[in-house]
Amino acid sequence: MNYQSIMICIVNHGQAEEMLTELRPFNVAGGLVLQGEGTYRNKILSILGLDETRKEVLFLPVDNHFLPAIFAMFQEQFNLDRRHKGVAFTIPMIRYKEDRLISPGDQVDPGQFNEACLFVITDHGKSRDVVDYAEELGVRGGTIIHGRGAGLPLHLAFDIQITPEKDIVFMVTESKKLPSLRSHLIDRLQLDERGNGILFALPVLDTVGFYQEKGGRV
Amino acid sequence: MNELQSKLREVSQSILPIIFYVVFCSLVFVPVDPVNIWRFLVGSFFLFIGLAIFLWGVDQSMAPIGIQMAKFLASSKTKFFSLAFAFLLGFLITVAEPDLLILGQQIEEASAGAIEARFFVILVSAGVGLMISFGALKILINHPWRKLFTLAYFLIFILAFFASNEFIAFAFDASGATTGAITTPFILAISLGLSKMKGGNSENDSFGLVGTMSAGPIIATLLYSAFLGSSTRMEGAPLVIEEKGVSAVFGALGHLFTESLLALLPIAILFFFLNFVRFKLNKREIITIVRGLIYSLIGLTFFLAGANEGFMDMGKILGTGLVKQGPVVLVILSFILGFLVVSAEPAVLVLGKQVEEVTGGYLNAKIMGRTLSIGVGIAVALSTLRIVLPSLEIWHILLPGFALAIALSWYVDDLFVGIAFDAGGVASGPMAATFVLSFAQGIANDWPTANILSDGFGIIALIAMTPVISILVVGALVKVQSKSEETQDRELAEPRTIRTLPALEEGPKFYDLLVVTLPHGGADRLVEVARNLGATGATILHGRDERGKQWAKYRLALDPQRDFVWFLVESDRSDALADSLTKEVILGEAPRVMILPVHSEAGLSAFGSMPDED
Repeated sequence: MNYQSIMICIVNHGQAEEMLTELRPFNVAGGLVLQGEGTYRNKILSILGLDETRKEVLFLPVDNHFLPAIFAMFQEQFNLDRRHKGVAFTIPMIRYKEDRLISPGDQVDPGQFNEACLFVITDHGKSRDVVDYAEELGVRGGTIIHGRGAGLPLHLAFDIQITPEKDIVFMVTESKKLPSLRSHLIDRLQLDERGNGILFALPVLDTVGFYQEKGGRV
Repeated sequence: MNELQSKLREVSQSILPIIFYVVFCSLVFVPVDPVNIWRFLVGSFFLFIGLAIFLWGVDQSMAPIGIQMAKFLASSKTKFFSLAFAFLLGFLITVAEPDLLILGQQIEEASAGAIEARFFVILVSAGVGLMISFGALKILINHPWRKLFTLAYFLIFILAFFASNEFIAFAFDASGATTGAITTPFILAISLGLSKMKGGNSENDSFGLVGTMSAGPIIATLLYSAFLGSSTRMEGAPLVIEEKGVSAVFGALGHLFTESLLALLPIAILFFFLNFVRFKLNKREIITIVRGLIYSLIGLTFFLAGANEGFMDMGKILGTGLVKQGPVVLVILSFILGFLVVSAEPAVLVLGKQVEEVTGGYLNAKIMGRTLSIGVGIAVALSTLRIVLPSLEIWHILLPGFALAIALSWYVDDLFVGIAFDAGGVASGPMAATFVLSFAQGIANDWPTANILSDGFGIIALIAMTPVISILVVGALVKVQSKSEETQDRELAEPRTIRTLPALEEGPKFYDLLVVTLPHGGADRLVEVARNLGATGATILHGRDERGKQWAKYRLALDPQRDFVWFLVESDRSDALADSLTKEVILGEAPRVMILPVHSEAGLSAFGSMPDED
């Protein structure tokens, strides 16, 4: 199989299995399903604390050849072109297992990508701040995944390793907004200080499901 | 679909079946006074609203508070302090439980003042505190759950020999009363927090503490009874179904609010005190927690009003009325009632969600729910069977039942042991204590050969036992299947350090994102290998693989859990790192490595713990 991209799909909780079944003809293999949180923007619900939605995040290697068909299927079967139904986007790979897809030394030309996916890895509990700070610049809708760092042995009463919990926030935005968003987030989250978090962006090839109203998605 | 809709749907799915079933029974089998039907329906509405609000509240308050407390507990510098703090937590959450005080007063009356209600409450709370300390110790020193449960239940059996039948019933009821709506989610969050602190492959530790806790009151009560040696004789009062109007449901709100507030206060006070001296959470987190506490309070008040005023009398009416249907129909109807009622227990939804999250979706909430339903259905059916067959004693069921549970626990995976014993505590919640208990009492009241006191009680003990077995049976099926399906060797291979990465070149740096997937539990080994090679700053995620419905047939047998590890690496070293990692064999598989280009525009690469390029 020639996998050239990673497709990331964010769907409502419980829909991953259904989507994977529909994706079977397109030969996706070796992917992963993670539990995530979406951020639902609604003033009233936000005050009530109901703005967290459970999502499932799919990471799947795909063959670019199949992408138009996959996206068409998403619109047809899962109504991804409508609001709140989920989103999907693809990120190019440099290498998949043993296959080098872009020769070493060649940098991926950022100019050819109109959109990018910004990732912020930060301490557990700060993810909502990240989403809020991004919104200050009009970048809306982030998805949060909970992860952890590697354990650090500490000298405590019990012989346990304390593993730092980490949140990963990611959001898709236009490439041209990246520089300002980057400096804004570095500023607000004090990312230039060691240990406060990491921020990076991956180029996005193609998207489906980003609702364009009010300049953002979902 | 937004969150509000999805939560309401979740709650409807848990509550509507039992409401329809009760209405069905009252139309087909039992003529019920319209006033009581209306009271039940208003109660159902309160139950619905209350459960929904309560669950939102628990998510936002009990869960984060429990996790903070667990962190505090685990990061202490002395063992004594850790264990003393665990004892304090267990003691505080139990001592304020309103159901326990009511039970204490019943015992005080029954023993003609020989046992004082307050003393009983303190005794049981101390029992819970002690068990929570043991449980926390177990998690922190990495012992399997099965040993702890075997020991605890062995002790219970020995003590039960010396106790009177009434005390045995009281002991199990006390256990049911301590695993209330507030305590269970809180203790679940504590185990989750402790296991998160340990990281790695510590799912086993996310469950089991509720099960441990519920053994505390049983041991404490039986021990006391053994010391006291008094055989109390109690007269069962005849069952009265009070004539109340619909307004009774509203009238109950006031005192239930006070009760709920009392139950919540100790945790809240301890949390705010510790937050002031230690946690120092930010404003957003505090607001969320305060809001969550208010939700929990309001939700619990409405839920209890619905359960106490709407469901309790309906249970009695149904129990009394169904007696005329004869033993066979009665047992079948009891099974269905138990099957449907358990999903309305608040803590069941909390446990199901936690199981799903901790196993990365491997064991989903639906499977948990079905298994619990079957377990509780069997419990209620057995309890009815016991009432109609006078020769069947509670011990004829409890003894082999718990013996089977302990035997199974030595066979199945320790994760299932923890979940199973937790499920026992979770299933014997407020709905069991109000609706199911009064249903059983109703049957016992009207069945000619039954005694309302000794036969009506004991149902809580059964509800606390059968889900343990049903979940352990699922665990055993998983084990049997996975043994025949998979014979692959999952031994940890020694890391082979191959070579170090090329030296960094001077000049502007570009980064790549290395994404590695491997079987769950191997992430720490992978990070160690990568560290030896000179790569730092890994983030580990936990999910399941994409086999989807392909493995639906064997969905429990195949373990689809995967670890997902991300590294940010300089572009000129990413290939070499990928080569080295692919050559490792971790848990019987070569890690699957993918490299993604990090956007380099505007110098946007990586910083923070990464070397800065400026």
